[in-house]
Amino acid sequence: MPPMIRVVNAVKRFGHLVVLDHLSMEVARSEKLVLIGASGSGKSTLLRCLIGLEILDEGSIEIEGEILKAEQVGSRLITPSPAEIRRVCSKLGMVFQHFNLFPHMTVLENVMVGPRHGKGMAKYKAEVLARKYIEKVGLLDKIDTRPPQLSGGQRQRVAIARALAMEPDIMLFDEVTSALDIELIGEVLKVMRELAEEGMTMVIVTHEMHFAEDVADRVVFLDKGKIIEEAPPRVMFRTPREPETQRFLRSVLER
Amino acid sequence: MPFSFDYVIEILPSLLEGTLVTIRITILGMLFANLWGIVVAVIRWIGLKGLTSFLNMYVTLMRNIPFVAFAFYGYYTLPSIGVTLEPFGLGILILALYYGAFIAEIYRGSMKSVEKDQLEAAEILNLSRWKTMRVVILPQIFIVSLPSLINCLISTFKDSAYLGWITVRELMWHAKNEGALSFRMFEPFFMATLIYFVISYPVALLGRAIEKRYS
Repeated sequence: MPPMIRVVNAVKRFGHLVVLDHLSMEVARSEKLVLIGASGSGKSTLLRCLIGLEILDEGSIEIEGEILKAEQVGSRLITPSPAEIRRVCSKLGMVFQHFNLFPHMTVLENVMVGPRHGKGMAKYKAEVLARKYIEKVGLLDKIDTRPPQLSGGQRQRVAIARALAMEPDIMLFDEVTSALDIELIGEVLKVMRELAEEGMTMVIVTHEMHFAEDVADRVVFLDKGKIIEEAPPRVMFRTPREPETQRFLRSVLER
Repeated sequence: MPFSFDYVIEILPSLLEGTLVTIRITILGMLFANLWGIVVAVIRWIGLKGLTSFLNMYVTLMRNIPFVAFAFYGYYTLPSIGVTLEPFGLGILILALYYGAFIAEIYRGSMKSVEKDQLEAAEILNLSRWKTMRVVILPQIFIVSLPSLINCLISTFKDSAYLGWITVRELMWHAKNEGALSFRMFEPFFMATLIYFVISYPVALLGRAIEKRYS
């Protein structure tokens, strides 16, 4: 069986800054991969490239066997069309650090909008689907509330429900608890744990090391756009091999 | 010549009749300018080849010519391309075409103010550009645009005074007409100025209050 995600020799530059530097990796079905690294190490950019919000300058991304790559023809870089990107990347869902909810829509509308307007589903079907996922994140009582009236933890759970309502095979989480007050982090991690137990393939960027240790099958440490080290969580957190990893983990765990 | 209250009372019905026309033409002009402005802004945002560059030229043109120039130009050329409206309708059309460009710019600014975060969320939810506009952007921009739209409403109201020159019987037309009939210019123009101010100023205050509330 092909991997769910395969990244080959990915290079991404912003101007002169190289954010992803010939990075290759794979994610297997149902695997929980945790990406760690200092800010600016390329974790978020990697997720954004996976879901097609950024296009690689070199290399390719393969989602369940379908390849997205930019091709160099002479001096021109030919990037895949937006329609092609959306088609391939529709197997992924993503949750952002800052929720990115639509403030003028209720919780129900936020979760419905993808199935209804993105997939063209009939309204009542989209609503049934949305209710199912809102229930899953435990917010049925907030269904008619708008995001500005919700706590950060609730907002993030809505964002998770919104991504799940697209019924993706893979979920990407980009520092989803970093903008939350400490007492609200638990409710979001609980939802993510449940998803993990159900067998969802997950790629998670996080600074929550205890959560990572519990949930991850594999932890990858990124530095300057490269994979420095990867190992099962216990190995990575107890006996990191590389000096960069040791330094990073020390700085995080001392916090 | 002393200020004559009797004369003011004599011309007041005529001036009020003009005021009503001014208000009606302003409101209708603004309404159509809004509709047209939204259409222009949406097309420019979605980016339709050819049409977008034409609309960009149109907006640039309107922003760089005085209203009165466009009003005269419209009055003398629109009928020759088959637009045969009576003065009131023509006035509305001219206001809508001219101020539509300014309103398109206002909406363009508001569309830009919708966070990039939301647009990315819409993108990964597989919303087309048109759906993103309709479902995500448009419902959010009206409130943001409101203070600027009120400024635009005041400009429309004031510029509607030029429409008298192209035979629309609005407030200034009546003032000029009364003055010409009696050879007393001070009272009609004084009263017209006063009426403009008395209507415009509260609207400006309202605009400022809204701006304060939402900023």
